[in-house]
Amino acid sequence: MKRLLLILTALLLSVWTVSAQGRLQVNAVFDGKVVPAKQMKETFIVGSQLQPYNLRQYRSVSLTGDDAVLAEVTRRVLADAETATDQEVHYQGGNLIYAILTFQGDTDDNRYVCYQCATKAGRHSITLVYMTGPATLDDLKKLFKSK
Amino acid sequence: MKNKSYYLDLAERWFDALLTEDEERELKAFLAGTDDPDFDEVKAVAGFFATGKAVAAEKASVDAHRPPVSLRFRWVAAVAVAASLALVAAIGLRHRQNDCYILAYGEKSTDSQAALADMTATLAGLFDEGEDVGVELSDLFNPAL
Repeated sequence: MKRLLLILTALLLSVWTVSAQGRLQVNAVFDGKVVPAKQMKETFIVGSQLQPYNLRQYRSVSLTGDDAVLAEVTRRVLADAETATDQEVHYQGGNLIYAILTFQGDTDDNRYVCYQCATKAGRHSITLVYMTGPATLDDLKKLFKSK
Repeated sequence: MKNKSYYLDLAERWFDALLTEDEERELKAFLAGTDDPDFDEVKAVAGFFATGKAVAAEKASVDAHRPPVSLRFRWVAAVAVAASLALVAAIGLRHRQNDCYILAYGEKSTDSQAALADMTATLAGLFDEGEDVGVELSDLFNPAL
C-alpha cells in the first residue's frame, strides 16, 4: 500500500508539474479566489488554434472590482514580478496600471503574465493574461498591435 | 481385561492432562469401541479436539501449498494500478490540450472563433496601451521632443 501511494504521489507530482501554470501568485485570480468566477470573463485557448501565433496556451480573465480587489491583484502581480526574468511595469497615480512579466524557464517555452487596469468612477477594470509558447514578446507585439 | 473404573480413571486424568502418550492412546482406543453413556462426555470432548486438530492440520497443509506472493508481483501490481491511473490522467490532460472556451459570468461558450477574436482584441488592447504608456513617459521625461 505504501509503495502504491509512493508511485501515485510521484505520478501526480509529474502531472501537476506538466500542467503547471503553477507557482504563480496570479493563479488565485484565474482560479476565482480573488473575485468569484461567475463575476469574471475567462477566455481559455490551448492547442493547434494557437499555432499561428507560436503560442501553446492562452488564458485571460477580465474583472471589475473595488480598491481592495485592485490591491490584491496588484500585490500578486508584483509578487510574481520579483521572480520574472524580464518585466515592463507602469504606474499611474501610485497604482499599477500595466505590467508584462516574462518568465523564461528551462524549456523552449516562454511564459507571460500581462496585467492591465483602467479606473473609472472608483471601479477598476482589470485584465489579466497568462500565455505560454515559444513566441517572444517582440513577436507577440508585432502580431497583435493594431496601431 | 481392564474394567470400566480403570477407563473412568484414565478419562478423569486425561481431563487433568496427566496421561502419558500410551495411556492416552489406550483411552482413545477404548472410546472408539464403547457405547457406554458414562463415556459420552469424554467422547464428545475427544471428538471436538480431534476435529480441531484435523482442521488445523488441513489449514497448515493449504498454507504450505499456497504459492507465496512475491515482492516482485506486488511491485508489478502496484505499478499496474498506478499506470492505469496515470493513463486516465493523461487522457484528461490530452483532452485539455485541445480546448477552447469563453466563460463569461457563468455562461460557457466553446465557439473557438469567438475565443480567438477575444484573445486578439485583448492582446491588441494590452500591447497598444503599453505603447501609449511608453509614449506618455517619453513625452514626460523628454518635453523638448
